[in-house]
Amino acid sequence: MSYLKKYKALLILTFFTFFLLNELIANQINLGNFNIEQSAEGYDFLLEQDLFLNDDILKAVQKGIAIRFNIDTKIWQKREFWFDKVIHKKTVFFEIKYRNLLKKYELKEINGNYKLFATLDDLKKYIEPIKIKLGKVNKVENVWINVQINLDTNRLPKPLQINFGEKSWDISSKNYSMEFEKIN
Amino acid sequence: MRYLITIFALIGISLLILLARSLSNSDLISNETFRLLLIFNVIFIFCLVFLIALQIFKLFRNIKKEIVGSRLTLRLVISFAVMIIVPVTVLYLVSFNFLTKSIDSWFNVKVESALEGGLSLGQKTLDILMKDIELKSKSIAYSIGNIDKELRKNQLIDLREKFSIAQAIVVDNKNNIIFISSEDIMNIPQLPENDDLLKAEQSFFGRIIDLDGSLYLKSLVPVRFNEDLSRKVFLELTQPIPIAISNLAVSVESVYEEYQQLAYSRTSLKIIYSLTLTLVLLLAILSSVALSFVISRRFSSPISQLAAATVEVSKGNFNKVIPDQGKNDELGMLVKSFNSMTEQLNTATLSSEKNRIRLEEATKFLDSVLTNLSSGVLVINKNLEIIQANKETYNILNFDSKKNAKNLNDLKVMNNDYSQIINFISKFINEGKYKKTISEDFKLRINDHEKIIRLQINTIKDSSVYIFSLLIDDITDVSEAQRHKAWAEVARRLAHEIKNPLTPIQLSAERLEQKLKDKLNTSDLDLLSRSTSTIVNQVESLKLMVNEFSEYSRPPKLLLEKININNFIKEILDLYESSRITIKYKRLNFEDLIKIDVNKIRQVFINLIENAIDALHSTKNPSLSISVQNRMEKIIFNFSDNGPGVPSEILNHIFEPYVTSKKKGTGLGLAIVYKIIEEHKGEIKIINEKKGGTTVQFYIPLNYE
Repeated sequence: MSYLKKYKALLILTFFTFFLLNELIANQINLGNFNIEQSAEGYDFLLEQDLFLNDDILKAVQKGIAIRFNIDTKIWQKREFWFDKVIHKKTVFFEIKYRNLLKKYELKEINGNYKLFATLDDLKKYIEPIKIKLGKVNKVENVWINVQINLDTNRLPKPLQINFGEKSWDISSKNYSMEFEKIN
Repeated sequence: MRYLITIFALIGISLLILLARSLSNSDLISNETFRLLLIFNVIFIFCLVFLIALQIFKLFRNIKKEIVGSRLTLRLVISFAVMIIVPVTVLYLVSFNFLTKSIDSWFNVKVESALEGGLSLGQKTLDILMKDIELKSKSIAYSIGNIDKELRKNQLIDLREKFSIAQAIVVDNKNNIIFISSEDIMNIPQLPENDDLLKAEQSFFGRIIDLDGSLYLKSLVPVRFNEDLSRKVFLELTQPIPIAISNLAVSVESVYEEYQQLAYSRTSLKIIYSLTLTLVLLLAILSSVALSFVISRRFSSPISQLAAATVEVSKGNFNKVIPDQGKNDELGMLVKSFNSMTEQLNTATLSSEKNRIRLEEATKFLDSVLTNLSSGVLVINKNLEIIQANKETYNILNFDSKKNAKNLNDLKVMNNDYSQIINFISKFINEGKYKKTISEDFKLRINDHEKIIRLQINTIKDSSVYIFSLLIDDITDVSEAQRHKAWAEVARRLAHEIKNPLTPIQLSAERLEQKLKDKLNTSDLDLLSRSTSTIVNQVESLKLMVNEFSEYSRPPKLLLEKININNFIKEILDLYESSRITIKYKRLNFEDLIKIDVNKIRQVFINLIENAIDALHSTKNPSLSISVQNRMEKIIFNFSDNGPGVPSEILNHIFEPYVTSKKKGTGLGLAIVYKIIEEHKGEIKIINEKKGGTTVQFYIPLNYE
């Protein structure tokens, strides 16, 4: 194994680089400014997101491929002697598509409405604040909420879905978790 | 194993079907399922490779162990594999090429240009429509802005109708409706967005919206009311794009997008289809190769069984039966024929074995008879080659047929005396008088012993071939006994005839001397006296001789008594204490009493000692050693002297009457000794020692009655 010693530094560097790249790819959506609002219909979960789309995805969007982002929100009840339990779950999505005919970016909003934008930046700016209607939550004490946004690859065309080893399409945010009552 | 391979084949087919289905855009098979399927397929391929490797390993192990049929199986497997791999590989290469070309052909430049052209046409059409509505917007805005306040609404309605606009709304900068005119009065008007109002402050702003699949043109222009030019008022016109144009444009857009999506996924498509094709090929080849093992074994199994059974039969196992699987093909017939053949062979072998056992038993019996025969039996052919010889033959003729002689002529080399026998046999065979049985006695010298051999030749005809059995008897003892008997008869008659006149002769001579001694002169008296003395002495001698003859010829009658042999010998030796020779006696470590005729055995001792004394008369330091041994229920006596030995010419006849090396002797001493020992059921022999001297050895059975 002496030859391994020779390339030890190179191996460590390669591993480290791979790890960093993996981390970068996995964090292309940043979330923040979480807030909970109470309304007549229950609770609304507000957050802000910063979406980064790499060149591959931009190219695909330009070709007319619709990309859908799922926002998964789960409320967990803490349990002392057992695994925590999901007591409320809400999944919403928004979809981005380029209309070649209209030469505009089309957004399908969380509420189902369509909206056209002249540029993608306009669209991204528009979808920065997100409001998720959680509805009625039975219990807010001793619970925590987690949220994650990820690109729904199952909605992509089949050839892109089963593109082994291709990480460009693995876009997701971290899994953010926080105490429900502490969010303001 | 065959079930395992069948299960593997079924799994492989199922996986292939699922994999093929997953390539279609069905919701049933998702991305994860496809990946899982792909992984399962790869695992399955590895399993197949392992299975085949295991089979190959087993096959080669069987070949190494030289298990019958394994080489045939290997050849069949190789043949099947080649038959499968070559066409499938060719098919794969063709399919792969076809697939790549087909996928490439989808993305033809002309198609792409046509689609782009179509899309561009749609866009241009929309642009024209947009330009048209822009002009109309500006015209209506100018008209309603420069007309009297009261007439504006009607003007708006008139112009909307004139330009065939679906909806016209005049709003202020707060988005408050000032005028509205619509084709469908029931339709709730959709107000312009604030952002749009801002964009339209200076000039025209238009956009196309998609409402439930229908395209609409929306134009927004500023309106300048002539009474208040600073007031910000906007006119928005909404005009649906004709359905025919809209549908066509949307359709072109849809096809263009699909095409672009495919073009974007081109590499992925190639990879997926190639991967699937490769997996299919590998699964097909590996499954087929795995199945080829089963098929090869099925093919080679009956042949292997036949080959194994043939090997068994060649080793002599005729009980081998191949299971008949009821097939009526050539192999089935071969199996049936083989089983029939082995059955017949088995029956024949059993019969042969029985005969062989019988023959062996007969041979053993014959051998036993021949071995236990006191006569030698020798079977030869015309060429004098020894076919068979019993043990006694070897003993009598002193040869070993296996080592020394395989042909009677070989005996000549061993002993020239055999020549007379061999010549006799050759003469008989050459004469060709095979029906005659002849017999002849031969005197031979074998191992320094003279033997009288009686040969009887019998002819045996064995299927037109003549063989000859030679019956060989050692009649030396018989002949000797006959001679002794004859001598005894002679001695008896001589004694009887001579003994009677001796006493009258002696008495007459003595009386004649008595009567004439006074009547004769001195010289005549002296003559008479000498003559009478001679007659008397000769008569005495004759009497002595006659007594010895009487002793030799007397009928065997022993007076047995039990004695201590050591004491007995000591008493005899006491008589020779003053003898000129040294007599040594080695005592017998045996104090039991033995039963002998004391007088007779004493006579034996005295005769032998006297003979030794006579023989040692000219020997320096003459000595005689006497020893007695008790061995194997026999009392063995040895008399060894250091004299000159017995002349070899008389050694073989030394125990016959009148055979002696002494000048004065009757020659009956040893004959009497021989007779006494024989009467005690013992044997006696004289040996000239190589180092010099003579040993007389005789024995008497210990339990003699």
